[in-house]
Amino acid sequence: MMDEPLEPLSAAALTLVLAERARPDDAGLPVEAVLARVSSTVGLATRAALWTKVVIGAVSAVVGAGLGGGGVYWRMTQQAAPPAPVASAAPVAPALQVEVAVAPAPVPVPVLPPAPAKSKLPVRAAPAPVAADSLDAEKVLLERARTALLRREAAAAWAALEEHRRQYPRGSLSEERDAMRVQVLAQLGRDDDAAGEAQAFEARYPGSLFLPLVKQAVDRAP
Amino acid sequence: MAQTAVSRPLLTPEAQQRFTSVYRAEFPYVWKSLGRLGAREREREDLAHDVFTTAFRHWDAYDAARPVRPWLFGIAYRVLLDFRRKRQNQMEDVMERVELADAARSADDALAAQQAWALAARALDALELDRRAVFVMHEIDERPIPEVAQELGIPLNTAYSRLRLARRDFNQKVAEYQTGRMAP
Repeated sequence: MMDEPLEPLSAAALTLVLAERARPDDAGLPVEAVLARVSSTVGLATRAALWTKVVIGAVSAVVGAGLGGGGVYWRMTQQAAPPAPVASAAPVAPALQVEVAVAPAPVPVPVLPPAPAKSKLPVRAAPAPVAADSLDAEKVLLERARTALLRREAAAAWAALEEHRRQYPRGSLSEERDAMRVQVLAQLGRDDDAAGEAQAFEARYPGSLFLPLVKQAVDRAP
Repeated sequence: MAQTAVSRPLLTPEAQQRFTSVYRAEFPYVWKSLGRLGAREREREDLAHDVFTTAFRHWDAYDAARPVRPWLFGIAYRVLLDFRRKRQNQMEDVMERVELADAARSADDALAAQQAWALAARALDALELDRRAVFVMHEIDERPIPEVAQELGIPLNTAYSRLRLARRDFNQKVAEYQTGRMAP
């Protein structure tokens, strides 16, 4: 099937993916304006057959007398269209057909992993192979920590982070490790420790990619 | 997308109603997916129009037993591919999105999330469109690879290969950002 094994997403990459998955729909989208354009386009393309449908009464046609070439504009639906742009993430169509499988609307959830990891998350169950260099070895440790964090196995996550700290106190991925430490402490309910580490983190890495996530972990600690 | 006439007759009124319902429910998803695929902000309205026009024209070929989002995503991918080939345009200006995200911030939580979304967008911009489509569908929309391959019309092995390369590129871009090598 595959020539090479799939590389798992890094901790930071997965954090971004999880955030993107949870992103709510934008507000104020031009739903009705584009629908009118779509109707117009497909209506013009098929206008030879339009009047049949108008007679049936399924569509209300509006003949635009002033339009070049006698273009016919029509609406495909009798649904009362809300005049304002749809601003909600929830579907608003009252007549949504049940046979259409619509995925659940995304819920605006925090960037941090909100629930135990699903089975499809990369899980490193077996001991990781010995890495060729220290960066790979660091990645392996942090990968283990991240997987445990996402599975809400905070003790296992902490153990991996501590191991990383022992082996690579000034490793290339120390920033990532220290960010995860805050997340794990917050998950453990050790709010004071988490807050202290978060403060130290901000002082140490003021422009960090992880800073918003670190702050959020502290803010959302139970 | 060319507005060519089709010989197929109009959809039945019931089918049109169903199309409109799906349109209203799924417009935000298509909008978001176009952004994830790298559509420029100012192009998105035209592209969304093309996606749903295509969907309408192929509506009677759509199998209602299948989930509609992967089908729409496949159309969005092809529409954007077609658009790119015609225009040879560049990926969206990264700053455009970051500014939009900044403008929408309202609270600390929102700020953290906005930053993560902006960073995700920047990392996605590092992916070629072919790989990006597989990555978004599988990693973000959480569709299994066989379904991804089917909806994008590519062999299974190709889908796996693109996913592997996309993960590599995405990881690399995020790592670059972490070490400050990615331009702000």
